[in-house]
Amino acid sequence: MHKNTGSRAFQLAMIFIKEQLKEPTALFWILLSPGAVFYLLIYSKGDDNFNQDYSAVTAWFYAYISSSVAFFGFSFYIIGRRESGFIRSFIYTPHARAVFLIAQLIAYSTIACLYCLFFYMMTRLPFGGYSTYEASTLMIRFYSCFILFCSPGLLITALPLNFQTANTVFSILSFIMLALGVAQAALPEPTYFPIELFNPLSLGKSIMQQGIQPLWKIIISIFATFIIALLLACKYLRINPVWSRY
Amino acid sequence: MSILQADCIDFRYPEKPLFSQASLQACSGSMTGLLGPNGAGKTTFFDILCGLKKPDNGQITNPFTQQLYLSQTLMTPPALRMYDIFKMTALLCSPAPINKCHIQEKLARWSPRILDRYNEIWSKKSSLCSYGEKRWFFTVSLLSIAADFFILDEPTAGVDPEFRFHIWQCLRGAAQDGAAILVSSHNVDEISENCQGFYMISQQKFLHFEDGEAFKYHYQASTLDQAFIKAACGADMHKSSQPIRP
Repeated sequence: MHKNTGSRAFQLAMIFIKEQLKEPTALFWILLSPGAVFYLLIYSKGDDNFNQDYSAVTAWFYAYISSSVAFFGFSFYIIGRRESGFIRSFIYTPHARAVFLIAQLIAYSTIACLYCLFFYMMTRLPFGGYSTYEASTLMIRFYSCFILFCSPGLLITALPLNFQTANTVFSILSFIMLALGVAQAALPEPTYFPIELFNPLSLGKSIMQQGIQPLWKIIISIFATFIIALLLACKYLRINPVWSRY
Repeated sequence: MSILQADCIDFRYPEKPLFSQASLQACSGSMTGLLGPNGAGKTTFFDILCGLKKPDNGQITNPFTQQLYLSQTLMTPPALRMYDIFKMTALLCSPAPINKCHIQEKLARWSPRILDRYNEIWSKKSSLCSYGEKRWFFTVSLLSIAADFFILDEPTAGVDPEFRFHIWQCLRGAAQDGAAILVSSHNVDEISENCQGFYMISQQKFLHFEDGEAFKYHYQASTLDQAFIKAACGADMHKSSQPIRP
C-alpha cells in the first residue's frame, strides 16, 4: 500500500460525505421517511408504546435504516460511479481502487453514524430524555448492522447490473426483508418455520435490541465477512460500465 | 526518448476477432492518433494498454511510469461543483498534490485564452455544465497532472469548435512538455492536422500514416473521409478503382 493511501482516502471521503449530504432525496428516503412511519405506527397503537423499552420499540427501524445506508449509499454509489464512467477513467489501478473503496467505507461509516444519531434525536424524546451513553451504545450496534448489510451490498456491486437494475435489486431486497420481518412479527411464537434465519433484517433487529455482548460471535463473523468482501471487491472491482459494448 | 510499443497484438471476443498481429508505437513528446470506425476496437485497445484486458498474443512494452486515461463517456456527480470533482480525480490519479494554481500555470502557457472560461467552470455546479463543458474541463485538467503518458478516448466528442481548438492547444503543450499522448477520434481532419502520425484500425491491424496526404494516397481517395470509409470497409487499395463518395 502506498504511503499516502490513508490521507488520500480521508480527503476523498470528505468529498463523498459532502455529496451525500447535498442529496435531499437520499436524506428523505433513508431517514425522514422511516421516522415518519415510526411515529405513525406508534400513535396508531396508542400512547402506551412510549412507556416501553426504547431499544425494543425502535430496533426494527434502526436495522432498516442501517440496511438502507449500506444498500442505497455505500453499494449503490459504487455502482453509480462505475456506470458514469468515473471508475473506468480514474479508478482502474490497484492503488486507486484501494483509495476509492477505503474512502467509500469512511464516508458511509460516517453517514451511517450521523443517520443513527439523527434518528435517535428524532425519536428518543417521547420515551424520556436523551442519554449520551445510550446514544453511543446504539451507534455501536447500528454500525455493526451497517457492516452486516455492506457485505451483500459489496457482492452485488460485482454483478453486471446497470444503474436502474441495481436500484430495483436493492429495492426488492429491502422489500423482501421488510415483508419477512412483518411475517415474523405476525406469526405466533414458536413457529414451525424459522423465518428470522433467512432475514438479515431480523438479525439486525436482534443486534439493536440485545446489544453486542450476547451476540459477540455473530458480530465477529459479520466484521470478518465484511473484511473478506472488501478485499475481494478491491481485487475484483468491476471497472467497465455495464452499458459499454463488451 | 520513451516509446510505448504494442507488438503483434492478437485479441478476439468470443464471436468477434478485433486485432490480428496489430502493432503500434507512441513516443514521448508527440501526439499519436488512433482512428477507427465504431466497434473497431479503439476502446478495447485502451483497455489492453491499461491492463484491464489481456491480449491473446503479442506484447505491450510500456516504459512510462505515470499513465492517465480519460474514457469516452464520463458523467459527473450532479450535486458537486467541478472543483470538487477535479479534486476527486486528482486524489485518485495524481502522484503529487495538485491545486488550481498549478493548473492555471500550465494552461496559461498552453492556451492562455482558455483561462477565464476554465475559472468560470471551476466553481460551477456539475449539474449546470453542458456535456461539452465537462468534457473539455476534464481533458485539460487531466493534462495538467504530472504524467508522462496520456490516453484520451475521443476527448473532443461533443465539444464545440472553439474548445476543440483549446483542447488541441493543450494537448500540443503537454506533448511539448515531454508527455506521450495517444488520442482516438472519429474526426480524421483533426487527427491528421494535429498528430505527428496516426494509426487507422483496418482489417484487424493498425495501419500507420505519417499524415492525411499519405492516408488519402494509400486509399486512392480525394478526401480524408473517403479514405476513412474505404479503410473502414476494409478496402484493398491495390484493387479498388471505384472512388467511394461519402
